[in-house]
Parts: sequence; structure tokens; C-alpha cells
Amino acid sequence: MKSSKLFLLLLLLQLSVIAKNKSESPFPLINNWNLTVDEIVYEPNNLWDAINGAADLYLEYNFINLHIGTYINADKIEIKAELYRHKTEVDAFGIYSQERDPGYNFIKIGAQGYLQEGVLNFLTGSYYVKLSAYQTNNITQTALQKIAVEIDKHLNQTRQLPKILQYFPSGEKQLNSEQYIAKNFLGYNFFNNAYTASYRKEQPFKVFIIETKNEKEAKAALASFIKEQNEIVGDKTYEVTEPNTGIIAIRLFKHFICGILNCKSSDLRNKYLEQTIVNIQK
Amino acid sequence: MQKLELNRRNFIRTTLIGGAGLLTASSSFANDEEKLKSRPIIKRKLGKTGLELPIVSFGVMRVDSPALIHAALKEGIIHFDTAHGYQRGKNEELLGEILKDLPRNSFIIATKVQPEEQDRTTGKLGAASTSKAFLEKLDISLKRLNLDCVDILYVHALSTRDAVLFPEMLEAVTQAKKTGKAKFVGVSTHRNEPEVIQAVIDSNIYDVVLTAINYKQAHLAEVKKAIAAAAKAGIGVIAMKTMAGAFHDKERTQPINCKAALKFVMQDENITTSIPGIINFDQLTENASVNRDLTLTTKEQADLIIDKSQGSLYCQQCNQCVPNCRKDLPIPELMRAYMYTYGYRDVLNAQELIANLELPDNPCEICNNCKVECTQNFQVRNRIADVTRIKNVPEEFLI
Repeated sequence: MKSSKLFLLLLLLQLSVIAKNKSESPFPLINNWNLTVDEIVYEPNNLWDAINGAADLYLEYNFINLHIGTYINADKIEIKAELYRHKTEVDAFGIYSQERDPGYNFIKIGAQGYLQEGVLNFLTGSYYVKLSAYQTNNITQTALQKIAVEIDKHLNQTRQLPKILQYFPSGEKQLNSEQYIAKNFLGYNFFNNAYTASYRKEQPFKVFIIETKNEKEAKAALASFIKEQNEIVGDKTYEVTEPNTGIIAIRLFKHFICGILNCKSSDLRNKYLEQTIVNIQK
Repeated sequence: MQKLELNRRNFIRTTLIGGAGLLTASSSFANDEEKLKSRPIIKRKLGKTGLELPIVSFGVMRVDSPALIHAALKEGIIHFDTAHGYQRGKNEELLGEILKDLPRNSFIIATKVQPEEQDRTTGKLGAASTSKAFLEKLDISLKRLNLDCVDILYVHALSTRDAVLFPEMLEAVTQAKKTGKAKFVGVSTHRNEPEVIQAVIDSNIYDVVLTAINYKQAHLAEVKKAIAAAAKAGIGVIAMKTMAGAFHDKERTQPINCKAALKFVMQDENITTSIPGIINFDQLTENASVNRDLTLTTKEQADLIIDKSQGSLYCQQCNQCVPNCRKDLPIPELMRAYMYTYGYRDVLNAQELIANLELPDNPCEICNNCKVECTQNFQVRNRIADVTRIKNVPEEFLI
């Protein structure tokens, strides 16, 4: 009997906040649109049922849940809305960045979004929102944008890209090429929380920044990397040539590990590494 | 320039490139690795396709490193699995870029294309799932992959017999084969697998089935039976989800013994190969080792047994318990409520669910002869008693 009471008390104290959050639907009601919300809310243990093998990647980015709804108007325009909630804003950016391409038609919505034929995807706070329409014409493209604006407003999240993206040198950076890789960057299990940006279309290369918790952790990760190499040159900036990745130049700065991938010019490597570190210091 | 000491990965890489003689392997670990490397790779025939594949292949979904794919090739892994929809096509592009300079006969590529319109709940395909739409997606996939032809083309994620035998899909895969855009065609499934596999056999069109199978599946026996029938009919069988989610818990803090789980599935000789996702060199090393040694060690066997007997918070909704309940209780729903409460800390959802079931307080109280047995060994009666109590939590505490 005592344990029953204790259980109840704990339950009430612990969960009243969660319940408050839970009471609101993540979908807004929109004038002239009829909303149907799927009964199933997908969570890590059943995301496979919704998006099959793609689920694995979402789980890497601390996926929490997926709500699915459908908006239909009197003209039978049907827009499917998928709201992927992740643990943090950086996680949401991570999965968003895995699916965007610099060549997309970017629009101003949330922190960022893009509009393709019959598709509008955007990032807002810890949500990655994916809208799609079966029909593809000007009317549906407009409808996608209208619904996106309403959802963004309703979710009421912070609308910012991760601050760390500002550390990438602007130079010849490809716009919207930045990615966040949560785990196993370059296939190394000690390289996590990595951001990359692509530079130049001809002889392209990448700049990367790995953010660790503290300088000690950064040093340990770099030491693990060095230990994995057959041959490595340098002492401040380390350089290694991997047959399939090209030259990797890598340098430690405070709790960041900065590097350049596949850049053949040593001048450029130094220039971009220096600039990255200057940007971090700012 | 500094030379570095021998380590596990260097050893693997060096032996792979034929330079093992340059280094001296002194540790017992290295000796074990050497012994393993001296064993031949275990290969199996993929049904009637004539393809012979190592028992471990590579699900490419989460890869960002070309070096990992090349290292896999050097390890003898030749079959790479992707899908049209992964990362909005970027996954196929990455694979295409990596493989473009390699001889075409040095790797096997499988991709999956999803029908245009599919009801997630019922698995039914809609009218928009035309052959034309499917083949247009295939053309896009081929372009991304820098290929004229994929080795295996799957209709992605089917879960019913009707979907497998959907005329437009049969037409699409037939055309894909006829035009040389796919050497072999198949279906992938991770729900209702036995029915799907039987439909694949009955179709007389598909060559391969890619199915979910793992040691935790409640209906494992049925899945294995269907797989045996498929193999007998000459259908190639490929396994996925072998690692059962890789973690015990929702928070993904308690990993399962993935190597043991993979070995467990591949003990079944009716299964040709498996496509575990590989995201780092250590995983590659571990998975590739299974290609040469499939023996389950005593510890691995014990890990799997302990895992199964522990059960978890997550009811698999297999419904097998339902006929045994003398009170006809909706046990799967109650177990879902239990999972919401204790797993997800989502009491409001649990309370709503229980309220909708319109049950008396502690419905097991007046029954002294519980016959319910759970396939996951849940103590169902106790869980029902625990979870139905939240029905009476005053609403004001939850708002």
C-alpha cells in the first residue's frame, strides 16, 4: 500500500510539466483547411514503420517523435505534414543538413527551408518539418508555403542556425553546404559533433570543425586519430594522406579540432585553417 | 615524419594491402586477427540469381566516409545496399561517387524504390503507385549511382500480399528487368514478413526478398518458416534489422551484443547475406569478422539468452496473449499504456488510452487464474495492476 502511494505521488510530481506540454497539438488549425492527424505518434522504437531504413539516420540525431498530419482544402489540395522533433536544435539541424543540397531553392521560413516541386522542408528550433503534396502545380506550391508559415508560427521555436557555422571561413564556401555529423565523422568513433562545409566547385575540398566538451577531450580525440595513422607529418598541424579521402590536415585549438579534407594546396590548407581559428577566437 | 606503432586498424589495413610483412605482429590480439584472416570468407548463393555473396554485406545508409566503403571492399564485402529515398537521394549520390572508378563487376549494388502512394497503417498501395512513377524514380536512382543497371532493385517496404502482387509494381519490375536497368528484382519488408514472403514466392516474378529478422522478433519462427519456403522456391533471401534496434532502451544507452545478434541470424543457411548498417571502422572490423567466423561463442549465446529473458518495456503487439485472457482484456493496449508511463514518462497519453478502454479499476483483481503468457516474458498481470491505477489520477494534476 505504501509503495502504491509513493508511486502515485512520484508520478504526479514528475509528470505535471510533461502533461502541460503534451496538451497542445503540434499542428495548427488553419482557416479553410481540414486537418486530419494520424493516431500513431512515431517514436524511436517504431520510426522504422514510418520511414523504413531511413530511420537509422534520424536516430543518430536524437530523434524524439514524429507527428504526421494531413491538410485538405475544398479544392482537394492535399498536403502531408511530418513534424520530426529532435532532442536539441543542433540535432534537428543535423538531420536537416543531411537531406538538403546547396542547389535547392532556399526560402525564408523558420531557421531555413527550401521549396522544391511538391516539397517544402524546413528547420525550426528542434523540429525538422517536411511538407509534401501529391499534386505539383503553382497552387500547391503556394499552399505548401502558406501551411509552412502557419506551422512555423504555431511551433514557435527559435529560428537560428547553429552558431558554430559562423566559424567557417566565407572565402569560396558553397552556400548552404554546411552539415552537422553527430557521430563517427570520417568513420572514427572518437570524432563526434563534427561540422563540415564545402568549398569550390572545381577541385572541391571541405573544412571541418569538431567541437568537444573540453580541451582534454579534444586532445584525446586527436591522439586517437594520430594513433590510427601509419604515417603522419607535422607537430602543430598534422597531415595525413588517406588513399580514398585525400590529404587530411588537422589542428587542435582549445576544445575544437579543425581540419581540411582533400585540399591539394598547402597554402590553401594553411590559409583556411588559420582563418577558421581566427573566426573561433572572435 | 613519425612512424607509428602497430594498432588494430593498421594491422587490418596493412594486411589488406598485402604489406603485412612490413610489420611485426607481436600481440596475441594480432595473432588472433591473423588466424581469422587466414580463414576463407563464407559465401552463399542468392537463390536462383547465380550471385554468390559473403554472408555479411553493407547497409550504406549512415556512411559519410568514402574510406569506409573502400575498406569494406578490401575486407571482401562487395554488396552495398541503399535506397532512393535515403537522405533525399544523397546516399545514392555518395555511393555513386565512391564506386564510379571501380570495375563494375567488383561490387553489387542494391537500391530500393518506394511506390508513390502507400497507406502507412494498412500497407495498401494507392492509385498513384503507377509503374511509370516507379520507373521514373529508378532512372533518377541510376543517374545518382552513375550506373546503367543496378544488380538488385527492390520495391521498398511492402507489408501486405496485395501490395506485393500490385499489378503496377509487377509491371514496373518486369520492365526494369526487360530494359536492363535491373538484373534482379525483389521486395523489401519489415512488417507482416511471412505474408509478404509467401506473396513473393507466389508472384513468380521477384528473385529476391529483403526481410527484417532478428533474435527478438516475437514471430521469429513464422519468419524463419517463410524464409525456408522462399529458399526452397529459389528466392534469394537477404536479412535486415538483424540487430533488433541495436539498443535495449529507448534512450539508446544499453547496446545489445550486435555481433552475436548478427551471427544468430546468419546461422540460418536459407539466408544468403545481411545488410547491417556500418558507420565506423570498428564496426566494419567486427561485422567483417563474421564473414570468416560464424560460430557463436559461449558468451555470445549467453548474451542473447539473457537479452530475450529480460524482456523490455516495449510490447511487440503480437496479440498472442489475448486469447488466453479470461477477462478478454485488451492487453496490447494496456502494455502500450505501460510503455507510455514507464518508458516515455507520458502519463497523459497513457491515461487517455486507458480511459478509452473503459475498464474497471484493476481489472485483474477478481481473477485468480491468469493463463496469460507473454512471448517477451512480461509479468502482464502485475503490469496491468500498476498501469490501470493512473486512471484515477485527478485530471488537475496532469494539466
